[in-house]
Amino acid sequence: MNEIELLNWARGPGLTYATIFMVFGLTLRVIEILSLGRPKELAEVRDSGVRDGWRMVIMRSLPERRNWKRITAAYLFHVGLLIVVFFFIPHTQFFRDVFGVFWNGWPNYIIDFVTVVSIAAMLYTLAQRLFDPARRILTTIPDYLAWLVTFLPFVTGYMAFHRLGVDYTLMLALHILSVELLMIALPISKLTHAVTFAMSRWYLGSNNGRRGIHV
Amino acid sequence: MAQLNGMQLKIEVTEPATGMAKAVARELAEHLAALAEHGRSHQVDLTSLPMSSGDKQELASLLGVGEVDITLHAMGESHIYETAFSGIWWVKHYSADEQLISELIEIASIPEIIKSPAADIELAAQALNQLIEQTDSSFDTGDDT
Amino acid sequence: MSQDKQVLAGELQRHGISRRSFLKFCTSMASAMALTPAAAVEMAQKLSTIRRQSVIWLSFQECTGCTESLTRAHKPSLESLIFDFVSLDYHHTLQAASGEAAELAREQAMHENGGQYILIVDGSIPLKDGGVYSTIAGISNLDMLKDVAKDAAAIVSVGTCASFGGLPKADPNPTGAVAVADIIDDKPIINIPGCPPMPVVMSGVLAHVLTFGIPELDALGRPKAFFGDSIHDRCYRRPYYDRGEFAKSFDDEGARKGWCLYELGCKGPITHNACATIKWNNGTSFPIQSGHGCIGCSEPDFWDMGGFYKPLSTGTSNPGQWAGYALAAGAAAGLASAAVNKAAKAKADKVHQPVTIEDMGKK
Repeated sequence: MNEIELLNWARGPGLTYATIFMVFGLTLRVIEILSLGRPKELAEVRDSGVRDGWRMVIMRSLPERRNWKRITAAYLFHVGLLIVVFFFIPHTQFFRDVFGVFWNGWPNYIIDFVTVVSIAAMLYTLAQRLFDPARRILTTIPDYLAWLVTFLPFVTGYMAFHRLGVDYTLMLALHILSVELLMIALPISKLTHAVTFAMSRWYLGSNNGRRGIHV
Repeated sequence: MAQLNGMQLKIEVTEPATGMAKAVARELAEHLAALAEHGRSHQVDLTSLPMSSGDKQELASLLGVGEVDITLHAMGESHIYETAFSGIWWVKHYSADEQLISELIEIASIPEIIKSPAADIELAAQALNQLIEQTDSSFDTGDDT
Repeated sequence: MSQDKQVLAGELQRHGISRRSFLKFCTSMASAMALTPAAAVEMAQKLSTIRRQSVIWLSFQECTGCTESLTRAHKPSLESLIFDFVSLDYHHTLQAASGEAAELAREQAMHENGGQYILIVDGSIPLKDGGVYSTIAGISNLDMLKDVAKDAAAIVSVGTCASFGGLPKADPNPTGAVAVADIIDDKPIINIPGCPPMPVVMSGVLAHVLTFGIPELDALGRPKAFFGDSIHDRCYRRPYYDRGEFAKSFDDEGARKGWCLYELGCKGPITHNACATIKWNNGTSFPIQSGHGCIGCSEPDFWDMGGFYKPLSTGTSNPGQWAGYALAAGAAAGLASAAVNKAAKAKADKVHQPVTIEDMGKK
């Protein structure tokens, strides 16, 4: 298989398989989680918990003061990820092709800068896991794998854009394949939080609220 | 003209000079020195250099025009002239349909393509002798009558 | 004089092609291949002293565009001079002879120059159903290729069909078309892809083969001198790409201003060819210069890249449609799983017995 064949596979069947797997998996998981409902309350319910639910969704999205370095890194990475995925011009072409909706991308130099910052932030969070004894104990192999499949699209995309390393055709194919790997990982790893983070925070907050714990 | 403006045509102008001309001139100077000292000739292919049209103009005006100007007719014309600097020749090869196909600068006492090839000279000598013999014989017959 | 008959120079001169024309040809070839001008002189010397190289040209599943590209210049072009340097012993489109006489010429050339002739192939070779989809004089393309390749010194695959399968191989490939290199593996093969290949590339490579031997090739068997850079790398519109200035349609402001054609499906970034530097029609233009994106014609499977007008960053199939099915299936599976979980939960509730303080006191 040559580079072009690999690229054609990644853009064709590979993308289709990954899309099917991701959409099927995420839909299954979300419905399954929602259908589980709440456990039977054995104690008296003190509050509807709705307000506390929303509070948690917002609170957990705001920076906390402890460990500002890690928080900053996490913020930079998540915001960077959203910017790069949705506002790099070739990516906007992809979304237009799939959803038929078009919005303007951002200039390449901004995307380039954001990518570098995101990569640095990810490396920082990895370093924390590796060198902080407490985190090291808490980190499992799936955690590292989740980090890796998120990191790869960034690096391959950056290398493809700057024509680094191997031939562009191969790099572009590897970039698309790495994204497909991420799509497959989404429903079967903790990366599912990309779609469930809000509802799980709301659930936690409202549960606390029902039991009279107001944050 | 108003119509042309309406069409929003992009008009190509001479590309700006990038400073390449100076760099090429420096290279030429080195090779010219080598020619003077060791008789070593050299060629610089302008077609493959990233020179803008502005750069070429700059280089051409820098080198000036000398005494020799040659037009070659071989599968289309070739225009060759010696610059104001002896030993630096500007060579432009055109195809039969007058397209520039290659452009080079030769540092030599005479451009390679101008020299008459030895094999051709040999053939020419034979051909000329043959011609003289033919005309001689025709003169002879003329005398006899 | 008698020995002059053997070598090319003398023979050409009798046809009105002077040594200077010769040198001029070599100068332009060397320049196109980024060889030094000194190599041009060497090339001319070598060309003038070699014997005419026997060439057998086989045309299989092709459209004759490759031959046209090389031969149909308005005036005798310098590129077509290459035909004067070789003895084209068989080319069924160009030769005067036809039928059995033509095939006889081929067999004779093979016999007389065994092990020394160069085989040029344009067109792909159909393998399906015993290769019945393309035959010449009752011989299948596959058999003829194998037969002629056996005693060839080298093979030059001209055009994308011979190099990679090209248009006949496009999905669903009804004739089972393959490239020359998919069949022959014991001979040096040079691929000169393009639909059609650039004339100067064909003649340049042939001149190189005749004088200096086989040029340096990339992983896909293409001469690096011509296929080393991508169209995108050498494109004069590259600065617009870098600045993010793209034409959105073929008739908008951006298109008129000559902005980058990436969003209109240009395959320049993954296409390796010399169009952006050498250009077509004696350096006049190339597709991007006339406002159309590169279609990637010198790359394998360029017909199957999802469409000439689909940007490179999009999928070639329609993942959106599949996403709909996957969503429905996921929802169905989710509900089924919910039902199972609910049943389990109900069962658990049924067997649940409240614990009282008294129970805790029991032993």
